[in-house]
Amino acid sequence: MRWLARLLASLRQASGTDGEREKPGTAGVPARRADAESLKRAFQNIHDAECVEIENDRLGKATLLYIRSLIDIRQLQEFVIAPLQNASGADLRDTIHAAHLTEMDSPEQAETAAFKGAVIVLAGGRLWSISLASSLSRAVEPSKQEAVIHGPQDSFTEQVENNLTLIRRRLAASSLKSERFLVGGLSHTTVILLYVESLTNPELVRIAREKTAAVRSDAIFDSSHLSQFMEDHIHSVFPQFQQTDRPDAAAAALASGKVVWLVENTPFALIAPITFFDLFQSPEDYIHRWPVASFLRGVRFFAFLFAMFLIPFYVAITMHHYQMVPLDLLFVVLESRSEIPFNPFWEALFMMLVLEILKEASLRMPSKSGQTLGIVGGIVIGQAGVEANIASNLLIIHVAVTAIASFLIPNYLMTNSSKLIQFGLLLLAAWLGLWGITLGLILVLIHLNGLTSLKQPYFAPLSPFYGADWKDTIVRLPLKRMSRRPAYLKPANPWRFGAGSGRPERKG
Amino acid sequence: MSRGMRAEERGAAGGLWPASLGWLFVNRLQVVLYILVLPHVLLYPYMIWAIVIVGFLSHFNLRLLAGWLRTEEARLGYEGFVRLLGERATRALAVPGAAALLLDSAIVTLDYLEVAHHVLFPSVSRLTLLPLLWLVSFYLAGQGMLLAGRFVVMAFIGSVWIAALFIQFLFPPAAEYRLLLPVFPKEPRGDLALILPALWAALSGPQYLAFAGRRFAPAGRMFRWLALGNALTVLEYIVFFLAVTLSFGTEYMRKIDYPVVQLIRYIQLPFFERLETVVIPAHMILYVFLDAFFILFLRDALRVAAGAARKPERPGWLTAAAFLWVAVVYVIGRFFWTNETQHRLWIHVHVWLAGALYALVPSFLALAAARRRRRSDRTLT
Repeated sequence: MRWLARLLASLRQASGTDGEREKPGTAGVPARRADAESLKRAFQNIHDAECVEIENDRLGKATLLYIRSLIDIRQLQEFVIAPLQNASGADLRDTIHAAHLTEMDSPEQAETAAFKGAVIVLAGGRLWSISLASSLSRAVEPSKQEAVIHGPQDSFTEQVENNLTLIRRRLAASSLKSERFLVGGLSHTTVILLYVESLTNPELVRIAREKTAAVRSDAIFDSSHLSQFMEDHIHSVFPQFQQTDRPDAAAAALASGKVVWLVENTPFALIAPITFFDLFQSPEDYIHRWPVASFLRGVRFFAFLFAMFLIPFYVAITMHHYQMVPLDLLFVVLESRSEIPFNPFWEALFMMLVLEILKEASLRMPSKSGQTLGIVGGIVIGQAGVEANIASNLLIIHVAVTAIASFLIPNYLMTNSSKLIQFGLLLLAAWLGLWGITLGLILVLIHLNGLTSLKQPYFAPLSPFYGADWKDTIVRLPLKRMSRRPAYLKPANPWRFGAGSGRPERKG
Repeated sequence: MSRGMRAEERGAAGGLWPASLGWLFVNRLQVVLYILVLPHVLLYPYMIWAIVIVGFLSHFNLRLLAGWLRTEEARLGYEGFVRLLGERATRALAVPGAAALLLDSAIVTLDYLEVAHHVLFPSVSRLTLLPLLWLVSFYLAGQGMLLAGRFVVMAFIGSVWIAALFIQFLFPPAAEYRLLLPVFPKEPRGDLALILPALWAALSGPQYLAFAGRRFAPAGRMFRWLALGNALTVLEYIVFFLAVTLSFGTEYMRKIDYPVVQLIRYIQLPFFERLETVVIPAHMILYVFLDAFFILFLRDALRVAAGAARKPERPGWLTAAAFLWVAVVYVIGRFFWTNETQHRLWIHVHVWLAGALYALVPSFLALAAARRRRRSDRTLT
């Protein structure tokens, strides 16, 4: 079978443009003679594609091809058409002084550039592209996903170049390297791979580069799509890439030796490798005093466990282990459940499903209807459910606490993962009580033990155990004590403090 | 390798177990079974000295084990054993080795299931739980020896807290110190011929590490880590023994099954009581780890016995080992462990089998390595 895999790989290499890394320095290579008619044929039946021909005594005939909706028409007139009409030299480089004038190797390359907002100029049998993409972008706004009260308030936008600028402003060093890839045969999505050369483990960069180049898909519209093609374990419920819309979080990840991807038209950067524990960290952890930050992190972990185990634990106790409940509390439980016709499992399953329906509805509904949904969900269904003896008061409290606890997990993808685990644990609790819950927990732990993110252990620093990394895992010790970068990343430079850091700015 | 990486971290980075994991392996392999049943054997207060003395003996045994793990033969794995014993002897020894391992793991697993059945599910057969325990262990074993070994950290964290629950029983009003007397009796009571082997067997388990030498990152301080694990086990046994003795006393302990489990019933929290319902499931994490370990060792033993140790590893061996393991456990549990008499017989079998393996494996391998070293020195001169 290996020969077949090799054959398929070579065929893909020969035919596909997916995941293709842009070769630096291709401009200036003599282009093959392009056929204007074949290029025009590619733009047929595209209503906003335009072709303009300009005759000039010195330059000869020049044909301009562009997609009107993608380019800035004022700049086209000012920087391309006018200079071409009044050209005094025979070379296009002497006539057009645009910064993004690039010679194209092939009509296919020119076609791709045109759909990225470039004007294609065919002159003297050579193809040129001039990037004049219209700036269609929203302003840099505060993060909605990872809002913080203190700390930087900017966030990524859909413009990949702007996002790169936001990171470069934070890491103004020549060692911050960026490699550009074109991913998706149809979408031609620009993906930028970022890493700090002097400290990131070269093996990590190699893996990241290979994974990005190997992405095979017609269209990549979101960083999540890209991450799903690069994951080590595609069937796992746990996210193996961290998504952030905060430039400070991306820059911090780069500075600790991780790799970051910026994806065109996505306001979320991908960070890898990550660990399970990274998903519980918030940028605000590094703003608070360390005891406060450690306490808040602890609360988050506790909330995660609460969200996963509270309802299954209730079901296990009420179905299998009544003897565990002290007598006074047992009376409360029995009174609360005495009128309920279902056993605790069906009661809990029903309420958990209702909660998920409410959560999904609140995400999909227009924001102005949100309040109505809250009233309908929280008061009408909750209150009416208890009065109609469908659910007990006690379970309603459990469901409400679980819902609130799940919002404490900073990572949205992780929140959703915990829901699925919760349903699994519920089944095991109904079947085998606490023994079943423990069995489920052990299964999750074994799964986490085997997971990797960019081929690095996902459950580090617990498994494998890295003692030094515990300074910034569940507790967050003072920044002065964190002199070493995470050991599981095997960084090329493990020291955060040392030569080059804290250097006074040179003037003159 | 990173310049500033610490020695214990190098193992993890290089796909090996760091030597510092040694104490976790020793401790968790030792406490796996006897933490539940040992106080039933140790009935008299003076036996606290027996725990300390046997703990010291175990220390010396671990020195032999650490010495073996430092040898080149241990690092070479199968090839090392062949160099030491010859291929035919290695393959021949793999067969009784696999049988002993199967028996050892079957007794340990069935005894845990017996406790779970006794405490949690009296109306459910203990063999009903076996397929679930087996599936989870098989899942862990499927991750391979490296990852299954790393799981010891979680097995430790998931079960070590149980000992902390018993500390409250060491102090009044729960503890009655008069029950500890006489600590130095004029005429020792009890059958020392059974108690001392039982204690020795209680400290067994680390002998299996002798076959995992190539998984450990090279480190000069292996004995230090193994000794730390052994000392922690002795401390845990003393805590459990004292807690049970100070709470129940000798006479009552003779009358009850699983005194450790019975003692947990006296713990009361504002929201929960009868905490044995939590502790027994939590203890399962140790058995999952241990059974996965046994399945992996069984796979290696089967490959060696079949002469396939040098061939590329195929997943079929692991599946075969897992199915063989569960079949043996089921057959023993279904047909040969049906009443209390048979239960006690199996415990006796385990005491002698595990004790013998713990005494013989490290010393045999250390001696064989020393003999080979002497022989090669003689050849050089």
